Amino acid sequence: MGFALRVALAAALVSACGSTLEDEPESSADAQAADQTPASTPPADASVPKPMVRPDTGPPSLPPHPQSSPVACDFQNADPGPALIRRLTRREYNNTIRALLGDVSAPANGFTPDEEFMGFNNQAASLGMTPLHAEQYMQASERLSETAVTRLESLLPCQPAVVGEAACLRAFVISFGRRAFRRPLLNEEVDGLMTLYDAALVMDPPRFERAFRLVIQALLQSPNFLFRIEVGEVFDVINVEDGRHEDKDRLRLTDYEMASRLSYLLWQSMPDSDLFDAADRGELTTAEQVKAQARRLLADDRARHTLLDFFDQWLRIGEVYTLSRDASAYPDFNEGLRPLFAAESHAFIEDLLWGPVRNLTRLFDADYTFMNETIARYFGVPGVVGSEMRKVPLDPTQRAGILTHTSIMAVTAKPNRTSPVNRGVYVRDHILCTPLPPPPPDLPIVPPSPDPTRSTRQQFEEHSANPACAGCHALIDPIGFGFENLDADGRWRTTENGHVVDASGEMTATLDADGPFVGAAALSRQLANSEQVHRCAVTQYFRFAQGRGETRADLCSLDQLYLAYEDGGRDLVSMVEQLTSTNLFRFRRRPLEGALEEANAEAADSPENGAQP
Amino acid sequence: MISRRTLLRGAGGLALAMPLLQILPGRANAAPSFPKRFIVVFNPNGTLKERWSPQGTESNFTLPQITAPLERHKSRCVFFDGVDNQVADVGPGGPHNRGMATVLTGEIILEGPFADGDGQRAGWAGGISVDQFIAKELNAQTRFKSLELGVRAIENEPRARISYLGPDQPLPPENNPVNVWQRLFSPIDQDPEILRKTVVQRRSVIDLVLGDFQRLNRKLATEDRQKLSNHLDSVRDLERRLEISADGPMLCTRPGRPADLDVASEDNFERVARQQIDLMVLALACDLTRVASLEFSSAVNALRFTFMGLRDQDGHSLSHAGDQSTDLQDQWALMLTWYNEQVAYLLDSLAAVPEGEGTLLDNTLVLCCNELSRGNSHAHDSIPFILAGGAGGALRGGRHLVFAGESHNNLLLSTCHLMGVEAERFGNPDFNTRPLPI
Repeated sequence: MGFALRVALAAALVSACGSTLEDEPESSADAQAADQTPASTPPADASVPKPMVRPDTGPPSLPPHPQSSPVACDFQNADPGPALIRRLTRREYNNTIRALLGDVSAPANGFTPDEEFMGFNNQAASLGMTPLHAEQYMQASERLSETAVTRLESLLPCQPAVVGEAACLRAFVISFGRRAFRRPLLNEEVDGLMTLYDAALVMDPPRFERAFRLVIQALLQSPNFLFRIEVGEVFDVINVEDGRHEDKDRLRLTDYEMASRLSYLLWQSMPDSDLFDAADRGELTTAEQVKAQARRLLADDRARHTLLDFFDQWLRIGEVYTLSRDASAYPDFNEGLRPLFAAESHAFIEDLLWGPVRNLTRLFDADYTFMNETIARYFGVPGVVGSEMRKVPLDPTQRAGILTHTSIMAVTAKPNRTSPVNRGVYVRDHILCTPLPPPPPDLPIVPPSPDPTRSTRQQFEEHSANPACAGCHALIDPIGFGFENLDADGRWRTTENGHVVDASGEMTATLDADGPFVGAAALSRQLANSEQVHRCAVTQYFRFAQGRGETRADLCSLDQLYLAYEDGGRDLVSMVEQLTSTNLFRFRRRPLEGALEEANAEAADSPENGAQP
Repeated sequence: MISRRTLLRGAGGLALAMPLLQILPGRANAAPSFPKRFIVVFNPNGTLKERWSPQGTESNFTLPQITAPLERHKSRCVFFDGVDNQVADVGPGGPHNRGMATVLTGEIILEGPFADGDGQRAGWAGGISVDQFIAKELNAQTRFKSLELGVRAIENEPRARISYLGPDQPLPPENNPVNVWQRLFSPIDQDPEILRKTVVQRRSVIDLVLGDFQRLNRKLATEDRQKLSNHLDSVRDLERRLEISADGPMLCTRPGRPADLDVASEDNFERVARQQIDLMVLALACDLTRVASLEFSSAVNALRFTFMGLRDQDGHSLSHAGDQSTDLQDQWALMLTWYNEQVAYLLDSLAAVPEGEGTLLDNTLVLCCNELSRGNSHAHDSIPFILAGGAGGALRGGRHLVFAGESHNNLLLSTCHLMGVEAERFGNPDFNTRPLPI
């Protein structure tokens, strides 16, 4: 789905709801920035039509089915977009501390949980910094340095008694500082940190240990540690007309910046020694070099955890740990089920990413799932023994793929009932990437309170029959009703409150998944074959990987990613590997002149000044 | 006046280890004059004005259902009708986001990345909030410039933030009372010798960190520098607090740790609220800060009052109930009444702390606010503002003031004046014509 179609679709959806939409969801700042870099803006952008704004509330008019992208993209010149400064997320902080200090205390678990935005917790726009954060970082650095000093010998590259205290501390500052800042320290930075050795003279002895702790505290509170900062460097390109010349639109990430970009993308952690070594040798410069490292990182368990985290956030699976459930409505629910709900989905996703059949079509239409004995007993599936998760066939008339998993059914339910509205909205938001606007402001309507004499469907149909609601709910509820055979704990039901469950539904206002269906399995198979659905999956990964929402300037890169995804047979791991050789990943948009001159002067200074151990 | 021991046990609140007098050694009645304190209390999704507005004359009135819990503090309260959040009617985003971003800032909401119901994209607030402005102007030499507390105010969006350091700089509240307790009553602060050493060490570390900002700023483009400036300001604030700590240990000894509760649970909403109020009062009584805010949940919340047996609907849904749906509005009114019960508990607690001839309540100004006046119309006119407390003698309570469409920026300006903070204007000047005569 290209940009024009997406805009038209959004406008169609909104017009059906009787509201208006003036532009696609991107910030105006981004749009302006894109306009200021004409050379890197997809050429067809100028012809992108203004979205239709229709005040009437008739049925949505749909754009034609996209056979190919309407925007002719030159991938070589795709705009990489800005390199937003990103504060480490709590998860990244914990992982980084573990790698840096061997400390598994996960100190960030106590930090302010203020990160989630657009469904992901790693978005630059929401990773703010306040006095409370600074205080938490200070206290964490103090605690971590206390623990580190108990393992002094394993962290020092030398023996103070042999080489002398000051010399050994300097060696530690240089080697540890390089890992903490994820680049070699400048000489002035080393000298600055060494003043702590002088300061320690008047503090409680022993002096060396005191200085060692202060060095760790200073490094862990530095913006160089807490933020991922990608300044980039100028580089030359060669083309037919001009020969070799400096790229005017883009900066290339330095080798050290690239090492961090790779490690945080794939491991949510700092670079390992191989990446540091490659950066030292200047071997993270070409697309092939970067991709080779990506391949290596993807083969590690840390990449599995990172990609699972992506699915947890994209599909909201992680919410099974926090959802509320009323015991009165769901007496069988107990706390022990939460990890099992997640475990089923995790085992299923792991198999799709790393197992023999790596095709995300199966994410939606698989006729199998994963269970261990406890889960199987919960669902009444015989013959599964032991705590190990293993593949179990599904009844294809009842279930297909992840959307029929207990995890998703649970997180889209209310505490005391299923919610066809939540489930319909979930499919539109997370699976189709066409979120609907919230209800208009002045509707004096409340969702139906649970009524034990009527089915959920009856109650919601009555609610949505109100003319003020019908326009939008016609796009939501018929999807959600399809799930009604699955209760809020994901179990199959054929009757509810004495009524036979009616799970017939209809998809409308999609690009290529429209049509009636009966039941969640049929709906899932309909979605599994939709280009819109798979474009959406790619877009969700883009947000997770880039730490920001997509903008007009990213359309070409999104097309490039989608092609890689389809070419690889909808193998997400393969697409992630391909991503690392794109403009999007290797470069950043060049900031406006002025700021750049200073950046260049500094960049020219730093390599020679880098402190060597 | 309730007993101090009752205050610290709290009616359902945390059972602190020792009564207030014990953690305030040599403090009670000793100081010749006591500073002014400022508190904001926020609850979301509007109210039902017909069950909120006092009935009678300006100074002789009765309180209907929703404000009835404040009956025992009526003589310390000023209730407002006809003060509108007019600046919330302009700018991008839906009415909840606009209300939230303006209620304490008086500035037009910024455009930003948050998709909203009107098809536009809401951003964060466009200016400093009145609590932060007052904290800045008072410039009190306390360990915390201000304290932002939340009760299940969890979402990281404009609809869940009231307090701002400046344009585009939301301050997230701390939702976990145990974390608040750890911040406020660090064991380090209890021992003058440890404190002195810690201050020396922290200073040397922070000096180095500040140097890192200088080097980074030379390398960065302007737009990126902005991103780091909040961090720099935060580190400078740490430095400022070190200077204050260096003057000596705090007035209070460390109270007991509040009970650990699952702060995300609806069932614990009331218990967490009481813990937060208790900690806020302690922080003010111990002069750890002079400005604090308490944010109950967030606009468009999915919060049910299960602890009151209201299990069917969440607060935001109930706020949408049509005027014919009496049963649903009755449930909504129960929730709205509960919020004022917490305000009354806060006022009880402040009144229980002696200060000179009076109490902490006499020296405190409390501003109660909401991002809407009514949920089912999303109106911003006649916001249910309440001012309470003595503001050091500046506020005369026991009144119901009715205005004819006054911009709430005027009220925010008057709030500054009541706190002794001189200002010509507050918020967007187009919406600030005068201080409200209070």
